[in-house]
Amino acid sequence: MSRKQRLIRRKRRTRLILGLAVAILAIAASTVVGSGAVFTSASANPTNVFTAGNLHHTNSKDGSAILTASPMKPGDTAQGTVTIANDGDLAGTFSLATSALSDTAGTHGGNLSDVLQLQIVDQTTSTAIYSGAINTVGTIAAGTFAAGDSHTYQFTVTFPDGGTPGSATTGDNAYKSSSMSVQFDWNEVQ
Amino acid sequence: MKHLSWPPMPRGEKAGIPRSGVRSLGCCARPRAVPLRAVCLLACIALVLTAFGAVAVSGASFAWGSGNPANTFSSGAFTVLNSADGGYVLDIRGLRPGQAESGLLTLTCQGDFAGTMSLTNRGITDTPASPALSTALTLSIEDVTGPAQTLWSGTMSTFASLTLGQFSAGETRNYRLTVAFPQSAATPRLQGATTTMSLRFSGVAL
Repeated sequence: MSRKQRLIRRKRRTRLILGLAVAILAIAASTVVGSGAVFTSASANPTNVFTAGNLHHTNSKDGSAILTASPMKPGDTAQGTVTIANDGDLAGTFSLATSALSDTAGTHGGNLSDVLQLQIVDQTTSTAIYSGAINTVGTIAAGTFAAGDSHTYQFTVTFPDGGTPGSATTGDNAYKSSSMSVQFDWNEVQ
Repeated sequence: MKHLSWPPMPRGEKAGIPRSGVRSLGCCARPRAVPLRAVCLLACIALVLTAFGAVAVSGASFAWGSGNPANTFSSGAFTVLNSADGGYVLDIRGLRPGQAESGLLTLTCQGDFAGTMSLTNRGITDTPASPALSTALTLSIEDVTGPAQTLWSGTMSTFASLTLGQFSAGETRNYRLTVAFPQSAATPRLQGATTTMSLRFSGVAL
Protein backbone atom coordinates (compact mmCIF):
# COMPACT_ATOMS: atom_id res chain seq x y z
CA MET A 1 0.00 0.00 0.00
CA SER A 2 1.32 3.30 -0.96
CA ARG A 3 1.69 6.17 1.33
CA LYS A 4 -1.07 8.03 -0.45
CA GLN A 5 -3.45 5.16 -0.05
CA ARG A 6 -2.67 4.96 3.66
CA LEU A 7 -3.36 8.66 4.05
CA ILE A 8 -6.65 8.31 2.28
CA ARG A 9 -7.60 5.32 4.48
CA ARG A 10 -6.59 7.23 7.60
CA LYS A 11 -8.72 10.21 6.52
CA ARG A 12 -11.68 7.92 5.90
CA ARG A 13 -11.20 6.29 9.30
CA THR A 14 -10.99 9.68 10.92
CA ARG A 15 -14.12 10.83 9.13
CA LEU A 16 -15.89 7.65 10.19
CA ILE A 17 -14.90 8.16 13.82
CA LEU A 18 -15.94 11.80 13.68
CA GLY A 19 -19.21 10.81 12.06
CA LEU A 20 -19.88 8.23 14.74
CA ALA A 21 -19.03 10.75 17.46
CA VAL A 22 -21.36 13.34 15.94
CA ALA A 23 -24.09 10.73 15.64
CA ILE A 24 -23.70 9.67 19.29
CA LEU A 25 -23.77 13.31 20.40
CA ALA A 26 -26.77 13.93 18.26
CA ILE A 27 -28.57 10.94 19.74
CA ALA A 28 -27.68 12.05 23.29
CA ALA A 29 -28.83 15.56 22.56
CA SER A 30 -32.05 14.35 21.11
CA THR A 31 -32.62 12.16 24.15
CA VAL A 32 -32.26 15.12 26.46
CA VAL A 33 -34.40 17.31 24.30
CA GLY A 34 -36.92 14.53 23.72
CA SER A 35 -37.39 13.87 27.46
CA GLY A 36 -38.94 17.33 27.81
CA ALA A 37 -37.64 17.40 31.36
CA VAL A 38 -38.61 20.57 33.29
CA PHE A 39 -38.98 21.46 36.94
CA THR A 40 -42.32 20.24 38.27
CA SER A 41 -44.16 20.33 41.54
CA ALA A 42 -47.40 18.60 42.63
CA SER A 43 -49.67 18.37 45.67
CA ALA A 44 -52.90 16.51 46.38
CA ASN A 45 -56.03 16.84 48.52
CA PRO A 46 -57.26 13.34 49.03
CA THR A 47 -60.30 12.03 50.92
CA ASN A 48 -62.75 14.82 50.26
CA VAL A 49 -65.67 13.15 52.05
CA PHE A 50 -69.30 14.13 51.68
CA THR A 51 -71.86 12.70 54.09
CA ALA A 52 -75.60 13.28 53.91
CA GLY A 53 -77.08 14.77 57.06
CA ASN A 54 -79.52 12.93 59.28
CA LEU A 55 -82.92 14.58 59.75
CA HIS A 56 -84.41 12.99 62.82
CA HIS A 57 -86.33 13.82 65.96
CA THR A 58 -87.43 12.03 69.06
CA ASN A 59 -90.88 12.13 70.58
CA SER A 60 -90.98 11.46 74.30
CA LYS A 61 -94.31 9.66 73.88
CA ASP A 62 -93.92 8.29 70.36
CA GLY A 63 -96.54 5.67 69.64
CA SER A 64 -98.62 6.47 72.70
CA ALA A 65 -101.08 9.11 73.83
CA ILE A 66 -100.07 12.50 75.17
CA LEU A 67 -103.18 12.70 77.31
CA THR A 68 -106.40 10.88 77.93
CA ALA A 69 -109.31 11.76 80.16
CA SER A 70 -112.29 9.77 81.36
CA PRO A 71 -114.86 10.37 82.62
CA MET A 72 -115.12 14.05 81.81
CA LYS A 73 -117.92 16.40 82.72
CA PRO A 74 -118.56 20.03 81.82
CA GLY A 75 -115.89 22.23 83.33
CA ASP A 76 -113.25 19.50 83.41
CA THR A 77 -109.78 19.85 81.92
CA ALA A 78 -107.08 17.32 81.14
CA GLN A 79 -103.40 18.03 80.58
CA GLY A 80 -100.41 16.22 79.19
CA THR A 81 -96.95 17.11 77.92
CA VAL A 82 -94.68 15.81 75.21
CA THR A 83 -91.09 16.71 74.35
CA ILE A 84 -89.96 16.87 70.74
CA ALA A 85 -86.18 16.91 70.32
CA ASN A 86 -84.27 17.44 67.10
CA ASP A 87 -81.55 14.84 67.61
CA GLY A 88 -80.46 14.85 63.97
CA ASP A 89 -77.57 16.89 62.64
CA LEU A 90 -79.69 19.21 60.50
CA ALA A 91 -82.05 22.01 61.40
CA GLY A 92 -85.65 20.95 60.89
CA THR A 93 -88.97 22.70 60.36
CA PHE A 94 -91.63 21.11 62.52
CA SER A 95 -95.38 20.95 62.14
CA LEU A 96 -98.17 19.27 64.03
CA ALA A 97 -101.40 17.87 62.61
CA THR A 98 -104.21 15.65 63.74
CA SER A 99 -105.50 12.48 62.15
CA ALA A 100 -107.74 9.51 62.84
CA LEU A 101 -110.30 11.60 64.69
CA SER A 102 -113.24 9.43 65.68
CA ASP A 103 -116.36 9.99 67.75
CA THR A 104 -118.69 7.67 69.56
CA ALA A 105 -121.87 9.57 70.21
CA GLY A 106 -123.39 9.53 73.65
CA THR A 107 -126.82 8.39 74.70
CA HIS A 108 -128.31 11.67 73.61
CA GLY A 109 -126.46 11.88 70.29
CA GLY A 110 -123.78 14.47 71.00
CA ASN A 111 -120.28 14.12 69.52
CA LEU A 112 -117.69 15.06 72.10
CA SER A 113 -115.30 16.47 69.49
CA ASP A 114 -117.90 19.16 68.76
CA VAL A 115 -117.49 20.62 72.22
CA LEU A 116 -113.96 19.87 73.46
CA GLN A 117 -111.41 22.67 73.25
CA LEU A 118 -107.68 22.17 72.81
CA GLN A 119 -104.81 24.45 73.75
CA ILE A 120 -101.19 23.66 72.91
CA VAL A 121 -98.47 25.71 74.54
CA ASP A 122 -94.78 25.51 73.70
CA GLN A 123 -93.47 25.65 77.26
CA THR A 124 -89.93 26.21 76.00
CA THR A 125 -90.91 29.53 74.47
CA SER A 126 -94.09 30.13 76.50
CA THR A 127 -96.02 30.45 73.27
CA ALA A 128 -99.48 29.10 72.52
CA ILE A 129 -99.30 27.46 69.10
CA TYR A 130 -102.99 26.50 69.04
CA SER A 131 -106.16 27.36 70.87
CA GLY A 132 -109.50 26.25 69.54
CA ALA A 133 -111.80 23.36 68.87
CA ILE A 134 -110.19 19.94 68.95
CA ASN A 135 -111.81 18.97 65.66
CA THR A 136 -110.47 21.92 63.62
CA VAL A 137 -106.75 21.73 64.35
CA GLY A 138 -105.54 21.39 60.76
CA THR A 139 -101.77 21.79 60.44
CA ILE A 140 -99.88 23.88 62.99
CA ALA A 141 -96.44 25.33 62.30
CA ALA A 142 -94.29 24.57 65.33
CA GLY A 143 -91.20 26.42 64.10
CA THR A 144 -87.66 25.58 63.09
CA PHE A 145 -85.48 23.73 65.56
CA ALA A 146 -81.70 23.79 65.29
CA ALA A 147 -79.94 20.47 65.64
CA GLY A 148 -79.98 19.57 69.30
CA ASP A 149 -82.97 21.76 70.20
CA SER A 150 -85.90 20.35 72.10
CA HIS A 151 -89.31 21.80 72.90
CA THR A 152 -91.83 20.65 75.47
CA TYR A 153 -95.48 21.12 74.61
CA GLN A 154 -98.35 21.15 77.05
CA PHE A 155 -101.69 19.94 75.74
CA THR A 156 -104.82 21.03 77.60
CA VAL A 157 -108.24 19.68 76.68
CA THR A 158 -111.25 21.41 78.19
CA PHE A 159 -114.89 20.43 78.31
CA PRO A 160 -116.51 23.88 78.59
CA ASP A 161 -119.35 24.28 81.04
CA GLY A 162 -122.31 25.31 78.92
CA GLY A 163 -124.51 26.13 81.86
CA THR A 164 -127.64 24.40 83.04
CA PRO A 165 -129.08 22.36 80.18
CA GLY A 166 -132.56 23.16 79.05
CA SER A 167 -133.59 19.54 79.32
CA ALA A 168 -132.28 16.10 80.08
CA THR A 169 -131.15 15.61 76.50
CA THR A 170 -130.03 19.04 75.33
CA GLY A 171 -127.16 21.39 76.14
CA ASP A 172 -124.24 19.66 77.81
CA ASN A 173 -126.50 16.68 78.56
CA ALA A 174 -126.29 15.82 74.85
CA TYR A 175 -122.65 14.80 75.38
CA LYS A 176 -123.21 12.40 78.27
CA SER A 177 -121.44 9.06 77.86
CA SER A 178 -119.78 10.06 74.58
CA SER A 179 -116.14 9.58 73.64
CA MET A 180 -113.66 10.66 71.02
CA SER A 181 -110.14 9.80 69.98
CA VAL A 182 -107.54 11.69 67.97
CA GLN A 183 -103.94 11.22 66.87
CA PHE A 184 -101.29 13.94 66.91
CA ASP A 185 -98.72 13.72 64.10
CA TRP A 186 -95.37 15.50 64.28
CA ASN A 187 -93.65 16.13 60.97
CA GLU A 188 -90.15 17.42 60.37
CA VAL A 189 -88.74 18.56 57.06
CA GLN A 190 -85.41 20.13 56.22
CA MET B 1 -63.81 11.18 10.41
CA LYS B 2 -66.17 8.38 11.18
CA HIS B 3 -69.76 9.19 10.37
CA LEU B 4 -72.92 7.66 11.49
CA SER B 5 -76.06 7.86 9.45
CA TRP B 6 -78.93 9.38 11.34
CA PRO B 7 -81.58 8.32 11.16
CA PRO B 8 -80.21 4.85 10.44
CA MET B 9 -80.81 3.72 6.94
CA PRO B 10 -82.39 0.42 6.11
CA ARG B 11 -79.95 -2.35 5.60
CA GLY B 12 -78.79 -2.53 2.05
CA GLU B 13 -79.53 1.09 1.34
CA LYS B 14 -76.77 3.54 0.75
CA ALA B 15 -76.90 7.23 1.20
CA GLY B 16 -78.52 8.88 -1.72
CA ILE B 17 -79.53 5.58 -3.30
CA PRO B 18 -82.92 4.42 -2.06
CA ARG B 19 -83.53 0.72 -2.02
CA SER B 20 -86.01 1.20 -4.85
CA GLY B 21 -83.09 1.83 -7.07
CA VAL B 22 -84.26 5.29 -8.04
CA ARG B 23 -81.34 7.57 -7.58
CA SER B 24 -82.23 10.68 -5.70
CA LEU B 25 -81.72 13.96 -7.39
CA GLY B 26 -79.62 16.60 -5.73
CA CYS B 27 -77.96 16.72 -2.38
CA CYS B 28 -81.11 17.85 -0.55
CA ALA B 29 -82.82 14.54 -1.09
CA ARG B 30 -79.88 12.65 0.33
CA PRO B 31 -80.02 11.69 4.03
CA ARG B 32 -77.40 13.63 5.85
CA ALA B 33 -74.77 11.77 7.75
CA VAL B 34 -74.51 13.11 11.31
CA PRO B 35 -71.10 12.98 12.95
CA LEU B 36 -70.82 10.44 15.79
CA ARG B 37 -69.41 13.18 18.04
CA ALA B 38 -72.58 15.27 17.56
CA VAL B 39 -74.80 12.31 18.34
CA CYS B 40 -72.88 11.64 21.55
CA LEU B 41 -73.15 15.31 22.51
CA LEU B 42 -76.91 15.31 21.98
CA ALA B 43 -77.23 12.13 23.99
CA CYS B 44 -75.26 13.63 26.88
CA ILE B 45 -77.40 16.79 26.85
CA ALA B 46 -80.54 14.66 26.83
CA LEU B 47 -79.30 12.66 29.82
CA VAL B 48 -78.44 15.81 31.74
CA LEU B 49 -81.85 17.32 31.02
CA THR B 50 -83.56 14.09 32.01
CA ALA B 51 -81.67 13.99 35.30
CA PHE B 52 -82.44 17.65 35.97
CA GLY B 53 -86.10 17.05 35.24
CA ALA B 54 -86.21 14.08 37.57
CA VAL B 55 -84.71 16.10 40.40
CA ALA B 56 -86.97 19.07 39.79
CA VAL B 57 -90.15 17.02 39.62
CA SER B 58 -89.46 14.67 42.51
CA GLY B 59 -88.94 17.56 44.98
CA ALA B 60 -87.21 15.07 47.23
CA SER B 61 -86.08 16.26 50.62
CA PHE B 62 -85.39 14.80 53.99
CA ALA B 63 -88.37 14.29 56.26
CA TRP B 64 -89.15 12.54 59.52
CA GLY B 65 -92.33 11.98 61.47
CA SER B 66 -93.64 10.66 64.73
CA GLY B 67 -97.12 10.20 66.12
CA ASN B 68 -99.10 10.17 69.32
CA PRO B 69 -102.19 8.06 68.67
CA ALA B 70 -105.26 7.29 70.72
CA ASN B 71 -105.61 10.47 72.70
CA THR B 72 -108.99 9.51 74.02
CA PHE B 73 -111.54 11.59 75.88
CA SER B 74 -114.77 10.31 77.29
CA SER B 75 -117.55 12.06 79.07
CA GLY B 76 -119.12 10.34 82.01
CA ALA B 77 -122.67 9.37 82.81
CA PHE B 78 -124.71 11.18 85.42
CA THR B 79 -128.35 10.55 86.16
CA VAL B 80 -130.61 11.48 89.04
CA LEU B 81 -132.79 8.44 89.43
CA ASN B 82 -136.15 9.15 91.08
CA SER B 83 -138.25 6.17 92.07
CA ALA B 84 -141.39 8.18 91.38
CA ASP B 85 -140.10 9.86 88.22
CA GLY B 86 -142.95 11.09 86.08
CA GLY B 87 -145.53 10.13 88.66
CA TYR B 88 -146.83 11.47 91.90
CA VAL B 89 -145.51 11.05 95.39
CA LEU B 90 -148.81 11.86 96.98
CA ASP B 91 -152.35 11.73 95.64
CA ILE B 92 -154.69 12.67 98.39
CA ARG B 93 -158.38 12.81 97.76
CA GLY B 94 -161.01 13.82 100.30
CA LEU B 95 -158.54 15.41 102.64
CA ARG B 96 -160.20 16.58 105.83
CA PRO B 97 -158.99 19.17 108.34
CA GLY B 98 -156.68 17.51 110.85
CA GLN B 99 -155.67 14.78 108.34
CA ALA B 100 -152.09 14.10 107.12
CA GLU B 101 -150.82 11.85 104.33
CA SER B 102 -147.24 10.81 103.49
CA GLY B 103 -145.47 9.46 100.45
CA LEU B 104 -142.00 7.98 99.98
CA LEU B 105 -139.51 8.20 97.18
CA THR B 106 -135.98 7.09 96.62
CA LEU B 107 -133.36 9.27 94.99
CA THR B 108 -130.19 7.74 93.52
CA CYS B 109 -127.11 9.48 92.17
CA GLN B 110 -126.44 7.17 89.25
CA GLY B 111 -123.33 7.40 87.09
CA ASP B 112 -119.65 8.22 87.28
CA PHE B 113 -119.77 11.32 89.40
CA ALA B 114 -120.76 12.56 92.80
CA GLY B 115 -123.42 15.21 92.64
CA THR B 116 -125.22 17.91 94.55
CA MET B 117 -128.94 17.23 94.63
CA SER B 118 -131.75 19.65 95.08
CA LEU B 119 -135.52 19.75 95.13
CA THR B 120 -137.41 22.57 93.50
CA ASN B 121 -141.04 23.61 93.44
CA ARG B 122 -141.90 23.80 89.73
CA GLY B 123 -145.31 25.28 90.35
CA ILE B 124 -148.57 25.12 92.29
CA THR B 125 -151.98 25.18 90.78
CA ASP B 126 -154.89 25.97 93.07
CA THR B 127 -158.55 25.56 92.20
CA PRO B 128 -160.07 27.89 93.06
CA ALA B 129 -157.17 30.27 93.02
CA SER B 130 -158.62 32.01 96.02
CA PRO B 131 -158.81 30.96 98.69
CA ALA B 132 -155.94 28.68 97.73
CA LEU B 133 -155.75 25.31 99.37
CA SER B 134 -151.92 25.42 99.17
CA THR B 135 -151.99 28.32 101.62
CA ALA B 136 -153.72 26.14 104.16
CA LEU B 137 -151.84 22.87 103.75
CA THR B 138 -148.46 22.21 105.29
CA LEU B 139 -145.62 20.26 103.75
CA SER B 140 -142.75 18.53 105.46
CA ILE B 141 -139.82 16.89 103.74
CA GLU B 142 -137.77 14.36 105.68
CA ASP B 143 -134.69 12.33 104.90
CA VAL B 144 -135.59 8.88 106.18
CA THR B 145 -132.52 7.05 104.88
CA GLY B 146 -131.52 6.63 108.47
CA PRO B 147 -133.21 8.18 111.50
CA ALA B 148 -135.81 10.60 110.21
CA GLN B 149 -134.43 14.08 109.74
CA THR B 150 -136.71 16.97 108.81
CA LEU B 151 -135.20 19.00 106.02
CA TRP B 152 -137.98 21.46 105.47
CA SER B 153 -141.37 22.18 107.00
CA GLY B 154 -143.90 24.93 106.38
CA THR B 155 -146.90 26.08 104.41
CA MET B 156 -146.95 24.34 101.03
CA SER B 157 -147.34 27.58 99.09
CA THR B 158 -144.11 28.97 100.54
CA PHE B 159 -141.88 26.11 99.46
CA ALA B 160 -139.43 27.19 96.80
CA SER B 161 -136.44 24.88 96.84
CA LEU B 162 -134.31 22.72 99.07
CA THR B 163 -130.71 21.60 98.84
CA LEU B 164 -130.48 17.91 99.57
CA GLY B 165 -126.72 17.87 99.88
CA GLN B 166 -123.92 16.00 98.20
CA PHE B 167 -124.39 12.44 97.05
CA SER B 168 -121.50 10.19 96.22
CA ALA B 169 -121.67 8.27 92.95
CA GLY B 170 -124.24 5.54 93.30
CA GLU B 171 -125.57 6.75 96.65
CA THR B 172 -129.28 6.33 97.42
CA ARG B 173 -131.38 8.28 99.88
CA ASN B 174 -135.01 7.92 100.92
CA TYR B 175 -137.35 10.84 101.40
CA ARG B 176 -140.75 11.15 102.98
CA LEU B 177 -143.10 13.94 101.99
CA THR B 178 -145.98 14.64 104.30
CA VAL B 179 -148.94 16.92 103.55
CA ALA B 180 -151.23 17.93 106.40
CA PHE B 181 -154.44 19.95 106.59
CA PRO B 182 -154.18 21.73 109.92
CA GLN B 183 -157.42 22.11 111.75
CA SER B 184 -156.58 25.71 112.41
CA ALA B 185 -156.42 26.47 108.69
CA ALA B 186 -159.73 24.96 107.78
CA THR B 187 -162.45 27.20 106.49
CA PRO B 188 -165.73 26.30 104.78
CA ARG B 189 -164.60 28.10 101.65
CA LEU B 190 -161.89 25.44 101.10
CA GLN B 191 -164.39 22.66 100.73
CA GLY B 192 -163.91 21.02 97.35
CA ALA B 193 -160.71 22.94 96.68
CA THR B 194 -157.76 21.22 95.03
CA THR B 195 -154.07 21.93 94.74
CA THR B 196 -151.41 20.40 92.56
CA MET B 197 -147.72 20.85 93.25
CA SER B 198 -145.01 19.86 90.79
CA LEU B 199 -141.63 18.97 92.26
CA ARG B 200 -138.35 18.54 90.51
CA PHE B 201 -135.35 16.65 91.82
CA SER B 202 -132.17 17.62 90.06
CA GLY B 203 -128.47 17.07 90.40
CA VAL B 204 -125.26 18.67 89.26
CA ALA B 205 -122.23 16.47 88.78
CA LEU B 206 -119.20 17.32 90.90
